[in-house]
Amino acid sequence: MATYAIVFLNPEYAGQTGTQEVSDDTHEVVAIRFDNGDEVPNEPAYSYKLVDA
Amino acid sequence: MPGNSDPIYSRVGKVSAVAVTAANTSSQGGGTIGTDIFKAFEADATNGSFVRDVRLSATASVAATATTATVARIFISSVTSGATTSSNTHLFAEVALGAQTADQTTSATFPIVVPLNIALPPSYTILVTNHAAPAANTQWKVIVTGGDY
Repeated sequence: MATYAIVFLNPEYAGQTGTQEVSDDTHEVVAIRFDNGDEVPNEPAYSYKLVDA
Repeated sequence: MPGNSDPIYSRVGKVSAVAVTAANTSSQGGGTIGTDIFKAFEADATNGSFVRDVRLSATASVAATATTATVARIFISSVTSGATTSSNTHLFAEVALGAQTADQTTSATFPIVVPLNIALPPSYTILVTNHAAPAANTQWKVIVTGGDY
């Protein structure tokens, strides 16, 4: 599992940070989490980018 | 005024491109151009443009880096900058972007081509999103080919 630091972009989560977890085998995203470990809910739709992108 | 009965051809070829660098989990067209929804093509402001296809290519700045699997979304919009909404930005196509190992020494990536073959009204745009953020040191490059009327 690879974990990437992310920052949210949409107004609902603006400025908050978290992580994108990606499977090493399939390279599919497994989870998007806030820094506190909670998974980001699907509503509202959110946007984000990698911190180092 | 009678309808045009003559075929029209593009006046000059047009190729434009953008890199998708962020994630947008909405498929309804909401976002901010340049932040989480990316402008790949803008039609001629006076006469509009013909758009032949959208081509997505996996790229990397570090050799043999795997991209993150995701979905690409292609929108047609009447907006050229700033915020977009579902009332002015419309989903035209979705395509699965399977993980690829980009920038390899001896094997090539394969592009994904979405044919459009449509005429865009003046100043309409083609916008693109990815559902998941690209992996570090990778990005999907989106190239649109067509011509201005």
